Amino acid sequence: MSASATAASAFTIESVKAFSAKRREPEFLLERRLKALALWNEMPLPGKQDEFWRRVKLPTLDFEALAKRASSEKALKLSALEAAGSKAGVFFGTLDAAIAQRADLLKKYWATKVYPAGDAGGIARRGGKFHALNQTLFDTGYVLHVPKNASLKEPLEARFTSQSGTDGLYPHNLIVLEDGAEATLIEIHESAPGAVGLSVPQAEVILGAGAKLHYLLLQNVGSEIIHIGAHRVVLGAKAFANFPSAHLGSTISKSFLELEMEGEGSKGVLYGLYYGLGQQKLHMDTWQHHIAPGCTTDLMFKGVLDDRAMAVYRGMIHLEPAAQKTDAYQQNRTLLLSDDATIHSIPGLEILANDVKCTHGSTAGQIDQNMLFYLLSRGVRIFDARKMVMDGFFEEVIVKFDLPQVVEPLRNLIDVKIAAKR
Amino acid sequence: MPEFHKVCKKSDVPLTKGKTVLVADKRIAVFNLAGTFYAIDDGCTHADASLAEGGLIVEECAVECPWHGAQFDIKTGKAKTLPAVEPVATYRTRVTGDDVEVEV
Amino acid sequence: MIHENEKIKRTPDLVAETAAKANEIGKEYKFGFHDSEQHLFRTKKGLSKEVVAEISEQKKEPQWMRDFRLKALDIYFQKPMPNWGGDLTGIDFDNITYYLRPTDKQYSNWDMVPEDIKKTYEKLGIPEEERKFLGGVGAQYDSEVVYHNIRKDLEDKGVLFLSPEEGILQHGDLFREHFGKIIPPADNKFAALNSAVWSGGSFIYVPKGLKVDIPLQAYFRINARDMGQFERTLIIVDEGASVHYVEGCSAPVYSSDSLHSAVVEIVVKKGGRCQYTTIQNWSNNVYNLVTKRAMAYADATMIWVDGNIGSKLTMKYPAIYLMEPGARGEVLSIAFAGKGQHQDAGAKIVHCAPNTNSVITSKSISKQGGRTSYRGLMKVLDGAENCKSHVVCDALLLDEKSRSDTYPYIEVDAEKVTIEHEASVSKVSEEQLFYLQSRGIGEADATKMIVAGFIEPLVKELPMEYAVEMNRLIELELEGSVG
Repeated sequence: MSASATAASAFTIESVKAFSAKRREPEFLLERRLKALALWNEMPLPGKQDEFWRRVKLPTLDFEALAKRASSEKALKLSALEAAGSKAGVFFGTLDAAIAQRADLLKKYWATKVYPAGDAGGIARRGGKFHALNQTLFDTGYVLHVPKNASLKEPLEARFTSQSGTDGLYPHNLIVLEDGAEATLIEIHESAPGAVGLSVPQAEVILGAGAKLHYLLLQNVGSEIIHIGAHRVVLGAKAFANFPSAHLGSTISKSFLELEMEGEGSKGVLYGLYYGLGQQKLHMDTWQHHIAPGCTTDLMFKGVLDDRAMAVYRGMIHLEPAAQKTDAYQQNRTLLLSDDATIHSIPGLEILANDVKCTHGSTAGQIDQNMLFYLLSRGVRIFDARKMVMDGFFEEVIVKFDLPQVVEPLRNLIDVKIAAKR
Repeated sequence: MPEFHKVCKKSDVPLTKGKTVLVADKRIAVFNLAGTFYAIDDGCTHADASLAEGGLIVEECAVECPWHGAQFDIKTGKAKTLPAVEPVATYRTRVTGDDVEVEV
Repeated sequence: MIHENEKIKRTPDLVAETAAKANEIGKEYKFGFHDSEQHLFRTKKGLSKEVVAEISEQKKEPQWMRDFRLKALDIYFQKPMPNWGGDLTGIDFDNITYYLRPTDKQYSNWDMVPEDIKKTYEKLGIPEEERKFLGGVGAQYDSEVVYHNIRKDLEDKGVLFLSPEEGILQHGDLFREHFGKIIPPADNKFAALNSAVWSGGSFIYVPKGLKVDIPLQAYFRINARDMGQFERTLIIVDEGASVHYVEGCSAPVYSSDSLHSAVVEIVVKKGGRCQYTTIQNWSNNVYNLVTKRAMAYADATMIWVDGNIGSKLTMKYPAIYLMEPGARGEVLSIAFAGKGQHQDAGAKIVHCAPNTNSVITSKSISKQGGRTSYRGLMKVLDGAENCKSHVVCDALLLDEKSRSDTYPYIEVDAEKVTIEHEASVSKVSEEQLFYLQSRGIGEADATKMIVAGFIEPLVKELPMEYAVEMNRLIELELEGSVG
């Protein structure tokens, strides 16, 4: 820390080269870092003119200071792969393990198809400069590869923890399921007490034909962390992705959650819940992109906001002209528990194919007074009654997480937040 | 507790526009209307443009937002025309010597 | 998850009946006619301080209005073109004449209107007998109110139905109290343009407690080559009063593009009611960029009924600010986009006070590569408790080349509110088509009936002759689109 006054900028070609060399990375990874670096240096910070960022009020960030990263042992903890899995040729390990053992995977997929390095077109339109930040500075992350027709029964877990002190965490993750493969992965983002700084994860997920993935995302970072996440799933023909997410932590968070329906007959389920207290600002940006015909996407985001919390839900269903026989659904529901809570809901549709069924809806309101009254009249205290209503409200989303090892902790986290209001 | 903060010199405030100052994390616009100083929130309640960049309409004691033309009374903070509806906050000012002070 | 289309409400007999009525009312609807041009005064093409000053001079305006126009012109030049919405690159601003005055005076009855102008109106199909039923007709021809007749009894009751030029000169204080306060020139680039070069439109004042039971109407028309239309309307409904204003228009076809950039400002005071109905059917070379906004006070009701059938590109988002408790706002919007058309329409409602209600219903139909976009804002400000709002946007895509977009913005800053928004996009339901065809109705007619049922909630809000015209227009649009 004390040497930082004379330290070189982390955002120069020399620094990035040095960093990559220290980590013994292959040439292609360095190339991709440099492409991202060029984009980072070129792009301005997103501001009021940028539709996707207009409502996000980021404080001034000292990126040089935040380029300091915590050691990756503390930052990432992976669950162990079961024996059956390794026998079937599955790879599940850290980025560094992948560099050592499966560089071929990285070469083929890393920052290529899903979030291409240095791409100012597709990604810049949405996450832009922060995508480039992750791809320049990444030093941790997990890689999961499941070969053709292999099926992983045991869920895998990757747990990212921002450390105490001020730093940045830039995990870059890769999931590739070949044709017919199946897996379940839980990705958790949290913080040690006293953690301050940036958390900017990026996940690239590719599903082959007929592959099935349950990708459970839990964001519960500390109250001094700014979290900007990007997660994109590309689905091949008849692939299936269940991608539920919970957005509970951070002081400001913006999460891009994206489905690219590339293969005919694929299906994506994108459910989310958010619960804002204090002065939290929770932003969720979803993208249901129907490229091939006959695909289905089903999205439901439900949130509760209290105190002076604010949420911005932006959702877009975009159908290309070839996407006939699409079934796309998008719902956003928010309960406002206080007068100063705010919701901005911007569900969108861009439909260029006609033989489709596309609907979206958005509601915002208070707790159903009849329901509350019913409970109160049966002797339930007001605090418990409200909690019951909220639990019931979130249940529809919680069931999508489907695993007791996730559902129980999730319910606890929500209960802890509710209890903080007592 | 609100207290007076020195924000700028009298001569820093032009006569037809305002001056944006930052006090305790708030963006405030200071105006000089025929010798009397007024201070209001700098952000227009419609779309948060800087009111200090707007034009002063002296005879109406109002400022016009440069982005969409909403007018605010700089004494009361009240929105006089659409597209603004909500008023801006006003702050007490005083002049000490050459300095303008705003109570925040 | 299944979206269902509107239930079919029309029978084959009703379709035939409707077509028969259309024939009764007027000649078969024809686009694309224009009369030889007869204009006594034209400003030169393009826009400058001199042009704006000349306009003010010609109208003999007071100094404040002249200053207002010139200031608006500066704002217009400074503002950039919008980077959202439709494609405005085809407008050649330098090649437009911004003001035209065909006659020197107003006429008080139909017989005194010059022949060629009369012919234009007759082609639009307004039979002589109907004129007596209308409250008063301010007929606009190329930027100036030519024919103006206020029914005597309305005049006696204190209703003002004038051109804005007359409004400034005869009721200056009332006019100035509200003019430009609802839509300031800086609001957007095209409001600034209108504020600089506006000409014609309506100025309406309805005194306290008076309910005008006959719709007030006006007709618009673009005639001259490269002509722009910049009418400016201001409607003030005093406490407890009520009025329904209707505008509909038609324009001829030209090879270079026309620009229509109107501004409508409305104030509905306590307990008042105002309905503003528009059927827009500009020919397919017109750019129609309109700013319309109303303020509704305590217990007042404001209703926009907006039909967009014509034009190459329309950008129009009627807005209502619900200022005080009890205010109610409603927007009913139909958009139809055929080949080469883009209807970018919608609504904006801002709940500024508690206990306010709003409803937005938007129906759109696209065919042959047309594009409809719904762009809306539903905003509830802090402190506006107990508000209810319901938004429904449905879109029909009649073929695979067409496009529909929905961009709703919902911003809720208060608690104890109920805000609901639903939208769906689909094609004509195969089940419904099958049902009708199995009863011997051909596919073309069946499609027409289903589409008529789809837009019926809006059509039933129109005055009868408009309802008939609207149905006829949609039928004509659909002809040739099936099979």
